[in-house]
Amino acid sequence: MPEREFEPMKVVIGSVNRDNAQQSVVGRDDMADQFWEELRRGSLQVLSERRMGKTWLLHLAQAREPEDFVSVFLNVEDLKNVLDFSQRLMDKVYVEVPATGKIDRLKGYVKRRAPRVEGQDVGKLKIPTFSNWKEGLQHALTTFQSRIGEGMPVLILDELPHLLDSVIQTGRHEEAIELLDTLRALRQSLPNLRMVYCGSLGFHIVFSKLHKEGYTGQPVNEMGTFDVLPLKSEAATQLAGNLLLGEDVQCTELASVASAVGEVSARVPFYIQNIVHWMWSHNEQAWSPDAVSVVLNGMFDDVGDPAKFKYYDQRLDQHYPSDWVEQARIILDILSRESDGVQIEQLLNLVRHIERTTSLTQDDLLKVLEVLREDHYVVRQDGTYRFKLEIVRKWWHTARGSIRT
Amino acid sequence: MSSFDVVLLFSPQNCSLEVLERNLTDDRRALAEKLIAGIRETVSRAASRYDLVIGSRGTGKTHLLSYVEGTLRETKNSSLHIVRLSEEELGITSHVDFLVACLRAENVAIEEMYEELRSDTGYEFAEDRLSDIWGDASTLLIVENLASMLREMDEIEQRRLRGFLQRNAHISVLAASPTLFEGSAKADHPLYGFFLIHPLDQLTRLKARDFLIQLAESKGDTDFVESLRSEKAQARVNAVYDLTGGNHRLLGMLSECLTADELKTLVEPFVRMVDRELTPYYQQRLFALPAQQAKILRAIARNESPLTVKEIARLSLASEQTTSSQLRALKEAGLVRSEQHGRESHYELQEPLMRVVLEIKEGREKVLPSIVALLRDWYEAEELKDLAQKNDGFSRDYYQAALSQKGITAAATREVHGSDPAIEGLNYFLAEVNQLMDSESYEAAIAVIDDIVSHLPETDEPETGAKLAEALLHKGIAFGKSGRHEEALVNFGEVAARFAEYEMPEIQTQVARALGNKGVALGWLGRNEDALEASEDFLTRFKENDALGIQDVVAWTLYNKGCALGDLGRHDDAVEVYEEVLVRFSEDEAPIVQESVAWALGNKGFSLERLGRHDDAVEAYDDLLARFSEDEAPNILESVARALSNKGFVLRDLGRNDEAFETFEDLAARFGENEVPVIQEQVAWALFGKGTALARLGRFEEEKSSYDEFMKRFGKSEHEKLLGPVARTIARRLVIGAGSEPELNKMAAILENDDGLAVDIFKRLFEDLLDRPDDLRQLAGLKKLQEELVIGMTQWAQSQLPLSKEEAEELAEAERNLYEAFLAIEGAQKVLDLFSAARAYSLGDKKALLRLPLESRRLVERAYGIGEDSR
Repeated sequence: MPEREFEPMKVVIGSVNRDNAQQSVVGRDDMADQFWEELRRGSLQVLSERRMGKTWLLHLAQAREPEDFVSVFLNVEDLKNVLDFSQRLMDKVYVEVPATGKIDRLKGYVKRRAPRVEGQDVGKLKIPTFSNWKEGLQHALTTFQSRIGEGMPVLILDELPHLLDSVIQTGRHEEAIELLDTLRALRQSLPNLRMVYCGSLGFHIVFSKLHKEGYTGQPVNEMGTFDVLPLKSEAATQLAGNLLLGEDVQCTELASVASAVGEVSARVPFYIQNIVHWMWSHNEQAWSPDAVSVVLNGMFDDVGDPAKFKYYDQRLDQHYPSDWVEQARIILDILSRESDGVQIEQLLNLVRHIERTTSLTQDDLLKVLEVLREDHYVVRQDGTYRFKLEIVRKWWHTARGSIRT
Repeated sequence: MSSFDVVLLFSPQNCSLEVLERNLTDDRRALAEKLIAGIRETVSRAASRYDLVIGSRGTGKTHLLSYVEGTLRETKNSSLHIVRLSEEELGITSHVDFLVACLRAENVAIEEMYEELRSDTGYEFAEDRLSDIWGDASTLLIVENLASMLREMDEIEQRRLRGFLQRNAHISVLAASPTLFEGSAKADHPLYGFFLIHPLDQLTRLKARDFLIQLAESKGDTDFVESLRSEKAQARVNAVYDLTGGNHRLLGMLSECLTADELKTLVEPFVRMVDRELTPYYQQRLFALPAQQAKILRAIARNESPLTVKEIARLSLASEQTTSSQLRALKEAGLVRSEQHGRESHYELQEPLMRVVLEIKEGREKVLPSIVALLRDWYEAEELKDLAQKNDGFSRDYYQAALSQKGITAAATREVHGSDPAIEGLNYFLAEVNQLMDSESYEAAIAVIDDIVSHLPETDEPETGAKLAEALLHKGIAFGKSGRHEEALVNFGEVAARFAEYEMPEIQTQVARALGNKGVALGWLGRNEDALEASEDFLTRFKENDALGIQDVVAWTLYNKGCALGDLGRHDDAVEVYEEVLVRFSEDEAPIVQESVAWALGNKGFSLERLGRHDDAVEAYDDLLARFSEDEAPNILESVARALSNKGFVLRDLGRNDEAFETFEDLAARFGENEVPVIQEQVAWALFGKGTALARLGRFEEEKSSYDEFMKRFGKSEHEKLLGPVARTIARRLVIGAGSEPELNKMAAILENDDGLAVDIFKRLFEDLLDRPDDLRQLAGLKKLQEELVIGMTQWAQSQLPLSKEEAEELAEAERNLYEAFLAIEGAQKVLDLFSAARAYSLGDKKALLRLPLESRRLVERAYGIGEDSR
């Protein structure tokens, strides 16, 4: 193995921001720079499942922001309606891209307060009714553009599909559609403006719900896609080694143990962090590359599921149509046993080995598989279907065990 | 039944290939051709395949296998050797038994080989004998009832069987089974993934009709074919479909009974068919069951609707655990099926016709309910009247029973309008809709309703209209329950408009419900003025209407009117309306009305609080508690919990802290274990409220314990309904020095997303602090709270100040200055002094500012636009 230098790093289980991203994010510099290059061409959808580090990547990208870009980052996962979204956007823009003039600042101040207080009586006066959330959105983004002059304003919306799904689940499909259409219209009217939509919940799930309501629009078809993939092998080893060193984990040979950690984690930064953390907390004797392979068993058994593997199971109930949830689980149960992948005919046959799905047709199976693929659970490779991440496959197999009939 | 039918339906293997082919449905034909092609390919490639056809009894497995076998046998120049093990091959408990069955099929004299076959290596001996016979020739083994066979084999025997087949790659298997074999889903089963599964589905209603036509055509029964193509046919097929569950064999068995001239009786041939053919068919299976399973099966059969495990256990006097395991066995045997509704599985007979047989076994002299149901659905009322008059004996009993079920007695003289077959169909589908609504499958319910509506012809028939109105109303309710209030609103409006002119009472009830629900939908959408108008419109039309069900709607519409008035701030009017609910409906025992009374009382209390009539509010809550404390209905439990919570806080604010404490304790004791989120919310408030009441009583240690208990129970909750009480409790804990940095961070995170809550918390916090100056010192060390205080104060200050254009400019400047000033001020004490003085000034204490240092005073004066600096 070539000589490799590691720099000590501490495990960070949580979030980073643009201020500390450069120190905390390893192996993504090229990807961050590539992100800006692609953004010059047009708005983007950043796609990946959870845990892949896309939010960290975006903060790193912000830290490495070229001079001609000005970006604002919003996480909207917790929001339940477009009014709150509009409010949060306005708060962000007006605060992070400050006005220089007093009047401009006042206007921003008033606009921010408006949706909360409009129409109310305060003392002797009535606060006038301001315009609706759409105008608030428009004003915010127009202001954003105007405040940075010639630069390219970038609006990064993290977990936007979650917001849309929350709005849809309360029966306000039209509002979700309007939001998407409004954002699209703004991209068209402000040609320098760039939007980045990111989400661990796929837009395909949101769109399938909207399509059921008769929506035929294509609100993201002009947006490019930017995949956040697992780290390259070298970067995974580097990150693992930095963390092992930083956390004083005893290793027989640091580089080879780091390489083993990189592989066993499927080169996903979040899992690398968690594995090193687990090794640190079980640091009784020096870790060898072979010993690393048993870490996962320990992690899977850990009370409280610190690496949040259960999320892969639970999200099926939260976001999938109810008649697909059981089928999806059964498919994943089967695939979890087959590390080499399964061909479609064989998969259909194995699904039919379960009483509840004996009558499933190939068409129905393909529909569910397609959703699982778009959702990053499953990939199709060499004509077979398999779990996208080996670590998730192992967890699933351990957690779900044999199929309950 | 003709001998032809008996053979075709029960022993298709004895039919000619031509008959088999003629009676194959399209989907079976496609599967057969696929199997035939696949098996032929094994011959040409010297390979093997293992197919397993799965289908309930009577779905045509043997028919399919026989057709495939027959076709393959007729293939010219084929070197395929076919061995069929008979369906009744009994006693296969091991691999060697299986091999012996194969040898028997080859007419080998087994008797001469007993000693060798009995030895430990008997199976090797048998394999060798078969190898001598078959050599390397492509061989197809046809095996029926594979699951039964495998059930008798242990794992070792199954492995031996698999090994035998794998070693002999020229042997293929075409098997059939009513169910998957036990353990088929387990990856470590010897035969997991071994067979290619081909499911055979039951017929759908439409396909059932096609199947009967095909059967009739093959028998050359043109009259029957024509009657099956008539308009009434589908309704009749549906009636029979329900008894057979879409089972091919059973439909075929009934088909002879279904051929009828207008007045040809159905009862006699049906009962005869049941007695002669069905009973032996089912008896064989029932007698083979263990006693416990037979008891469970009878319990299920006695009920027409599906049952849960708990219900079945109760009816069969067994434990739930035993019942559950026996049901699993019955399911594997294909005798029952289950469907998931919500969290529970509901079980019913796989073949409803078995109910008929069990009914016969339990009481020969009685009229059998299943047959009565068939007659009721099969014939129209006029026909039943006529048949009842023309027959005697038990046939007449059946027709009269069926007529009674249609709601018309044989002796009735009034005109029989005759039920439209559409009505019977509608009743069936509406029952399905009700079931879906009960299990919260609202999307599915809407889909079924759309289907009903799209298939209904345009008609002015009142009966059809009533059903259609009911269906559309359900659709609106389904929309509402799934949060789609705009669509619900449209729906209710449509029902009200479309059926307004119908006088039939049943339709008027639906119109009333639609109008009432329209108000509810408007309320959900926040359109309170419109909701009020809708309620008033309804009450104008229906308030004094005594028709069945309408007064229930009046009760909850009055309640909703009160809600709308309350939301509009018209609390006086709201109280009046709630009182009307109490006066009119207190004595009405209908559960839905009682719910309206309970909620009206609760809301009356709330409105009285808003009017400042706190003593009256307490009285209203006490009234609710007196009436409903013992009621277990979920909605009423919620209103009791809320009443207790609200009462507690009112008492506290009235200074009656002892009583407040008692009330909160009562709530926590009653509902502490209740896991329903809205009730948990009230428990959380109670624990918080209890703490604040204790503080006012000077019982500070107990106050702290109350918050500790709160944090233990709710501190980690992320449920949105609990965030408010969590934030408030943490704020209080911080004030009394019991809080921590993580708690502060949690509170900050909650408040970050809720401006209103933040302002409210800090208002109350400082109101409390003014009463406890000693505690203010506690705040000095918490830097983050200090920052939050600034934000909270400016927001509060801003909400108190008027906002003209000029003042807005000054406020922006003032905010900037205030913030900067606050940052420069050391120690939270000074910040709080400034805040409390500003607040006191706004409440009318003009001397309050004099208590401040000059610099701070100037800031506040400027912010308020008073003093020299503002001019």
